Amino acid sequence: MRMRGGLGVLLLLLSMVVPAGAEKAGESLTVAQLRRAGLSLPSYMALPELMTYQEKLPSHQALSLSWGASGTGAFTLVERKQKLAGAPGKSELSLSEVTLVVVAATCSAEVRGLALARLSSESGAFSVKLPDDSRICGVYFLRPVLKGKAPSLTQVGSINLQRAPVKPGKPGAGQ
Amino acid sequence: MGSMRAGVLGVALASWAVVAVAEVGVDHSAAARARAQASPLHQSARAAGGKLQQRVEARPQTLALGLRALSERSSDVVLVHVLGNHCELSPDGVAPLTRYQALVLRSWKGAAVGETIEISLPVGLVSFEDGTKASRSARGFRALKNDMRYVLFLREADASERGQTPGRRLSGGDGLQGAFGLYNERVYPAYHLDGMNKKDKYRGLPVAKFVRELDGVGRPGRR
Repeated sequence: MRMRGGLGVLLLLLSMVVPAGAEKAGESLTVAQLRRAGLSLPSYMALPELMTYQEKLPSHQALSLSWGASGTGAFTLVERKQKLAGAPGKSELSLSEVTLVVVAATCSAEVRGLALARLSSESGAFSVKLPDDSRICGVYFLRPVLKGKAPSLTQVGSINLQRAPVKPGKPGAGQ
Repeated sequence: MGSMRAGVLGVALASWAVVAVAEVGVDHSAAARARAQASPLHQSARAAGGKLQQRVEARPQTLALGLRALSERSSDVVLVHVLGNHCELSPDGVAPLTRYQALVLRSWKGAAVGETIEISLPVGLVSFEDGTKASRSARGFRALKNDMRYVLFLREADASERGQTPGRRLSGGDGLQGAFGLYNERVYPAYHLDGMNKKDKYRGLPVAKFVRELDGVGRPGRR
């Protein structure tokens, strides 16, 4: 017990001197990180406002996606449903090694929607809810790089939604 | 509300040019159909050979010169995301109108962030059951588009205006002035006179600069 207690104190002291940029988890997504990845929020909107907007929208679109299935690590759109009732909702903007940042953007790379997913395996399937916004041209998949002083985002894939087949959702359906 | 849509096929305006036609808000009750058929607009459309095109322009004395003047006559100054729209016959039956639903993203005055508001504009296109059509457009005015974002200067229609546009309407220019589109970080006034006559002060202005000016005039008591 005494050993454990001592170790705890040591870890606490170490955490106080480790630079914030070296943290492996708990970093928050920032507008600057998105901008460095080539995506920008409108100047009148910050990330909390984007989340509030996503919470208040009356409808959303749902994307079912798979990744890594062909061994290439690529993302594939399995299904897209639009005009679904209910808001896309907000995401916690905390980044970790297993976070995938999914950004919906216009053709001029203006961010119109954002969702965070957790991908901890090499392949699989997941779905995200995004605003059902006709200005959205595509989605970008970004992975956080948490090493170093300034955490950044690396684009690991994208899908052009303008060419994607669409399945209209049933009116009033939540999913 | 139901009776206002009575027997009229509304036509969605996706831009200042009509690009999409949809049957919306049709009330099939006999009374509603009768009201639409007997409306002055329907009679005018029939007299015009089945297709009536009205063209309007704001009266100069109703225009506001500058954001401060627009703000002073507004109960709401908000940045919105347009969610949808539909056209219908105006309550007084003499013209089409377009109703827009919009989500407030930022507020300088009035409606709260996150609130969904409805506004009416005195332009649009309606089709009657016998196939006659009537449209109203305004010279130099680009109708609001779905999924676009605008700064809107709004106020409640007064008693003399409710027959044309019930509820909230643009504050200036007979309900046509006071909508500024924000696109690719530039400002695009929906009405050419929002450029404040020939100076066109706000067209193409960076959004950040426009918002700074709004910060100075949008809030009551702030200069």
